[in-house]
Amino acid sequence: MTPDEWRRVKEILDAALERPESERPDYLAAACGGDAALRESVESLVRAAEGDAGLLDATNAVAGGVEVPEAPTRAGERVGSYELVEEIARGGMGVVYLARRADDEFQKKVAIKLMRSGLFSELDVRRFRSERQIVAALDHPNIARLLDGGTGAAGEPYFVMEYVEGRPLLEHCRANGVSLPRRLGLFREICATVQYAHQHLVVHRDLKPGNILVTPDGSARLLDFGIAKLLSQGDGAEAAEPTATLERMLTPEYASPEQVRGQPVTTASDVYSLGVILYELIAGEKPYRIETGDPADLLRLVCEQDPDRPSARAAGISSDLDAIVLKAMRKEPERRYASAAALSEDVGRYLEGQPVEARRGSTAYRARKFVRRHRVGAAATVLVLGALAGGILATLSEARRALAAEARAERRFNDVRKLANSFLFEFHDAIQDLPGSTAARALVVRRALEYLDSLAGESSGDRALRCELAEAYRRVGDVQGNAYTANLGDVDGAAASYRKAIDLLEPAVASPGATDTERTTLATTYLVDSGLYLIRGKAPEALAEAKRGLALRERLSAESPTPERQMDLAQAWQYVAFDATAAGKHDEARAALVNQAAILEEQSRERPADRVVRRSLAQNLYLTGDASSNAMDLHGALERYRAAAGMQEALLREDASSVTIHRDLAYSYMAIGNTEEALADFGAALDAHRQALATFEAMAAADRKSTDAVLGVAMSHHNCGSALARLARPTEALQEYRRARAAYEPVVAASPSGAWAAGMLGSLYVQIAELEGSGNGEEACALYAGAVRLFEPIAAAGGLAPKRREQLAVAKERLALCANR
Amino acid sequence: MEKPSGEEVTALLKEWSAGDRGALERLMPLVYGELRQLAASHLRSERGDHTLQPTALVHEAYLRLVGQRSVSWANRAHFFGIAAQMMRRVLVDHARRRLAAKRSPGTLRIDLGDEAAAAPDRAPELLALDRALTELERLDPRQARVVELRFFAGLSVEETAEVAGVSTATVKREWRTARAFLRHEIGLDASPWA
Repeated sequence: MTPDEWRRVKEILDAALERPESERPDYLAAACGGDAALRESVESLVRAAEGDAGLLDATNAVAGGVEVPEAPTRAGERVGSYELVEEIARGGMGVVYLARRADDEFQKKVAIKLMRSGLFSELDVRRFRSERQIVAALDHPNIARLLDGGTGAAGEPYFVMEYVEGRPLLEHCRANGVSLPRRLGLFREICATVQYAHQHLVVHRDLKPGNILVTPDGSARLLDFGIAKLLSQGDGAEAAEPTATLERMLTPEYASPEQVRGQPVTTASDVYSLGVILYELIAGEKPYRIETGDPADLLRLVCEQDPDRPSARAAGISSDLDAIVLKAMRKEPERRYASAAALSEDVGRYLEGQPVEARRGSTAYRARKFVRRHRVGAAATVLVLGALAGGILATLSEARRALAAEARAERRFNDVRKLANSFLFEFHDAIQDLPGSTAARALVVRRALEYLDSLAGESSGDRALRCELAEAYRRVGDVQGNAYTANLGDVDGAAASYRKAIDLLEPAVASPGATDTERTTLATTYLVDSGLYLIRGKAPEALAEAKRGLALRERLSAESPTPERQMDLAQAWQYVAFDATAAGKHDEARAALVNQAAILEEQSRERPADRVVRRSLAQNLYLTGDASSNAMDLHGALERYRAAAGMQEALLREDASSVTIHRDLAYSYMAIGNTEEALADFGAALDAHRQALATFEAMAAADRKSTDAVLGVAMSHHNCGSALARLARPTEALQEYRRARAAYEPVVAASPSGAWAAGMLGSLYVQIAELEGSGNGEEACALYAGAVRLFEPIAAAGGLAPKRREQLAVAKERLALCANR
Repeated sequence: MEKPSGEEVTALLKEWSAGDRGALERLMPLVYGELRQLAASHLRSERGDHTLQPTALVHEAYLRLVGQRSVSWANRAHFFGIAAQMMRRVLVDHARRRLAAKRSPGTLRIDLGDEAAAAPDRAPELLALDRALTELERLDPRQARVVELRFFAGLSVEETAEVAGVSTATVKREWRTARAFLRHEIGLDASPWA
């Protein structure tokens, strides 16, 4: 055939192939005229076009299975001062060899990545050398360290890295059948490592499973950190033509849209690549199948097409994981996770069954998740924090209603939800009435205050939110230092929290539309706050604060005398009684107790088994005992204290784990002991104080950090010491005093505002000094000085009890003698 | 081999496009070496994924050798033309060596991978195709270029049209008739009497 003949054949062939098969014979007959040879040529070509074409059916040679030659290995060669031992991997960027320093007696193994020649210019190599310092500064157990770099004899750049024994991430997972949770755990480790690098201003840019090795001990090691960035230095100026992007797009499957477009690469690009890795880890496939190598296709796929949800590719993937992956892989960098750490945290939330951030848009989802988890936590949630949970649940439903209308409710919901999470689920069983919970609760407090302060900053104008916040501050204050529940002994912190709650609520309650919630919350806060005043030795302020709470509760009860409101009112009377007693207003205290008893007895008739009613009745008896004692009816007092103790012992038999009842009972024993002492029956007093000691010790053993248990133990030692001194057993008495002193001192040091403990300690100092007499003059003088130091601020605040005022006077007198010595 | 700089390759391309046939002679080995290395490394790393694409190789080879700075489209078109020829030569040379090794009694080749064993050996077919394409080159050099660009460089119809300087309709037509021709020739070539 000649070129001219082929041109003719081609023309007819093309036209024939255009036509349907049935028309071809007629067409060929007409086109070829009488040229039989021409017609035969065209007909055989048409047949060839129709038949099986083998290799030519493929779009290109390599796709058709044509073998591509391998490059020869360079093992045995020397590169720089390293000897290449064996090839361990090949990639688009170059070949990796296991190598060792040729001049190194220790034969330390390294990995050398020989870049393909031509990959970058001499200038780039020089730049690399300076930039390398930055990358070399990355010192992290999960990052294979970059040790050295340079150019080989043929001008090919090389990088020397720490040699990591391990298998590539996906291979490791497949080969060992690694479970999904373990895969996610590995992924989180990877995220943490990437985060570390980001914090050191190094972006990886070429994150992919092949760059992540899993060592035999199961930890992930990231390779090539920062190398991609070093390589692509200085090419930012050129136009973003599709082919130009290929250089930057080192591994197209894992490259972010901005990388594909040739736009600036940031840490968000690494977050995207992490998303692709997570996709492949859970779905077993890459999100995009990049087949053509055509830059236009690549642009379209990566920049425009949304990937399938991972769950569409593999079974058993939850929609939460879908959401996490898709959020990490968002086309717009700003819509991805803000950091690798944030991505990791969300995976963590998924692992813990918490709501994932990736699905923040869906209200129903959040509610579902919240309630599901709440069921788990609720069982362990009691009293103070349990009540907080209730508040949060109310918030939940309210927030849900508001969500549709108000954007800020979204944040509020989430912040409050975080608070709930922190309270209910991070610490779900380390709660108020469970022994051993103090340390956990201290953490809860820190978290809670952070969240609350952030919310309070933008609560103006949102009445419901302010009320919720006040309630939450109040509960946090309880945990910090409420005198009547197990607390952390942080009196000042508690007072500050209560003050925040009161400041949020008072304007609302004073306004015409005050809600019941606002009023009840404020009443409760006044009452607990009064307890704090008392602890700080400010009885008159305590009484005033308690009366404010009482007034609110009286109104609420009058409006609707439900059992709850009646119990609340009874409790308010109790606070008033207690504070009045402390303020020396005994008539007022007695009247308050009578009022309280009337309410409680009515409730007890209706609900005889109710533990709260019974506990309150016992407390009423105790306080009535105090009142009798103050009226100098010591026998009447003793009778009531014993009755209170009897009720409390019964309650404790029903539930031996209750910390609150333990505390109530211990104080009853202590009161009995003090009364016996006043009646001059020191033996009986000692017995009662020893019972108190044992009860406090049981509390302290269950929770070493419970301040009031520790304080109770100290007080009991102190009281036992006093009784023993009166029984003329000074050696034993001193022993008890010393134990008391050792226990008081750290408590007083930790919370200088705790006047109660300070008063005790001052009193103890005087007692020790008196007991030791002049036998140890110098120590006695120091003790008197200590007592004066402790008593004076309390006295200045008007909170020093008469007995202590006496001791202060004694201490000052003796101190004057010390000075004259 | 002395490493060619981007400038050197660009200059050769310019000389070649200005009509200097000698420039092409000097350019070819550079492109060949680069493509061969690229192809090898790509294959090794990507084998499991079946994602090796000649286009990627060619684009990369272009970037490695020329860089994307200050090179006109005409030069790039020339480059792709050369690269396509080079890819063809890389693959055909390898197939030829492979067949020779198979026939040589002193060489024992063991294929360990199942994948490799399962894949049909395309080497004889590729050599037949190469001969048929050489015949087409004689009859219609432009059409042979189109086949090289499409089949060996893996370019799309549009890219091929741009590089060859023809319309996409022409590329489609040329590709269709060329395939018929090549199949026909390969069929003859493979017959026991050929």
